[in-house]
Amino acid sequence: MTMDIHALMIAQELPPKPVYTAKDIAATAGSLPTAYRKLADLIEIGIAERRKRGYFTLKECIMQPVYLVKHLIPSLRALKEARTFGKYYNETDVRIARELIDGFVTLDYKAYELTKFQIPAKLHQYPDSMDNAIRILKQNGFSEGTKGQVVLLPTYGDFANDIQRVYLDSIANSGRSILDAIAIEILYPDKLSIKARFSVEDIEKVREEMPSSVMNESIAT
Amino acid sequence: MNQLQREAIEITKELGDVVFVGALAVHAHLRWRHRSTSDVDIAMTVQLTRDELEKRGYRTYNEGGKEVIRTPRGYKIDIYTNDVSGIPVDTVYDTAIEVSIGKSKIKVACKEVMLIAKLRAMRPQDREDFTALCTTYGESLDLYPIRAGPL
Repeated sequence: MTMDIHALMIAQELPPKPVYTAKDIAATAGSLPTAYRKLADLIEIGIAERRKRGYFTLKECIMQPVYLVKHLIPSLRALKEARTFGKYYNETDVRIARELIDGFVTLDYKAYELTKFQIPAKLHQYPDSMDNAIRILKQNGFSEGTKGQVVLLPTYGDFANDIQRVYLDSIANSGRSILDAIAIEILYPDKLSIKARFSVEDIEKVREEMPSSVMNESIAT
Repeated sequence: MNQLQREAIEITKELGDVVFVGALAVHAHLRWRHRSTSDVDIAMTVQLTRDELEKRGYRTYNEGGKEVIRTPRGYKIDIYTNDVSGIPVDTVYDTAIEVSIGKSKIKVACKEVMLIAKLRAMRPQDREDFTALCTTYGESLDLYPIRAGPL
């Protein structure tokens, strides 16, 4: 998977909106055909997502510097190819899946374990074996769909530094996970060799709302 | 029942007629299957003084030049008495809905109010909450107040 830097730069110039159309991109790209090509590139790397009626959304990680986006590619690819499962469609599914599947847990649950900042909702896991994990879930009554709380991610990229991987996955996932990435950077600055850029407003929000016990523990160590 | 739901019930008992806004309201509309931080945003038509809050067991103090309020259980709360992202508190009250948590009830801002508030804020977490509300409720949302602009 290659990254089209021009497509990234065009998308970075778009004003913040909940949804965009190809016409929005055409205003910066120069023409509608170029806009569609750039949009296809952004969808390919997992930064843009097609919605209904010709609209699409962009992940906030688009605003990161190009050098950082390069490090996000494995996470973006894994999230794009993620497979979602559910059985009871509540927290019970997460508990059952954690007992059944071995592998590297990331995003919501791992971020909560590291920061205690946001209540987790979905279990995102890189299973040791994707095929095996899917077989086990299905044998235990899970169905594959779009609304489940168990998300299996294919393994791409480096997992040597587990905190950094959760940090990069959080930035790639965007949305509320950006706050997790900020919390991780505040609490584990020495564990990160790559640093992203966040807005001052978001950093302040995380600092203000981080449980005081976690912040105090961080200062003490 | 999770910790945040329990906290919402306790705050309603302690402070009376409050409407939950922010992530907790979104959380309630999404059947408590969404992420949120542990801070709580509430709208009130009456402004409680520092003394009145402290009588109810709430702690108020200054942190980095800002007044911080914490519930007796340590949750940080923000109280809005004028408007919520430009939407008058009276409107937030008039359009609020009741949500049952076990045998208790709390009031939360309606979906449309939350959509507008999230759209105006548009931080990463707001964008995710906005998308989740649209994806979950889609065509059933009452877009009249959004298009007509009374909010």
